[in-house]
Amino acid sequence: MMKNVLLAAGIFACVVGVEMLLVDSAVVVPIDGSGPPRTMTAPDWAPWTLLSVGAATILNFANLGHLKPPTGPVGRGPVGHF
Amino acid sequence: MTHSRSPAALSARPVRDTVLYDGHCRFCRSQIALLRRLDITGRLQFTSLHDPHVATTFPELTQDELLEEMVLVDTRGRAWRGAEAVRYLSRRLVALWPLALPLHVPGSMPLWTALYRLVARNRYRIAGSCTDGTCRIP
Repeated sequence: MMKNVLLAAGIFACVVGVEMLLVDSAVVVPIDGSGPPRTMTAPDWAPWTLLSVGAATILNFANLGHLKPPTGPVGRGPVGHF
Repeated sequence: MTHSRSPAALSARPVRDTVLYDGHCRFCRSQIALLRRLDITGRLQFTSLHDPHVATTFPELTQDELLEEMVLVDTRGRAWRGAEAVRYLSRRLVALWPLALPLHVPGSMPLWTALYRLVARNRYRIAGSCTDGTCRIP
């Protein structure tokens, strides 16, 4: 379960990072028309930081697959779920 | 998130991102030659810090500062120094994008800065120096 959350978080960070690389700025307009529209611009380093964090998280996920689940006493099989 | 110190703002705004490097250092010159090859789209221009025009174009930058580490002045007049300049280059040059991932890991900047300063301090020992067309090999 936790492994899948880790993979999802890593992919999410990478997708947002790529989006930020492609989009220079975004204008947020309130739906009800109250207040002026706001222009949001991400810093230069933000997409790359997200991509590196996402890549590290996905690598961590891939590495977790090689870990053996903890085993109980002989003959009783694995204990719990990893 | 405090990711990096903000670059100093200069009065000069070059047309292209300008890399100021030590033209007397053979190691630096070889790295600049590599950067020239990687800069396919011609986004960068390279100037030796010993060029007399540097002092007039960028009066805020002292010779001692420039000798300490590479400085990159972008088109918005921001001066990126040392490891931060390398990180900036990794974002700008497509060929360096694989390098951008490790360089942007949050909290890793002190490591890259220490590594950069180690190389910068020993740059003349790595490949020697060149002055007036004569090179001294270590």
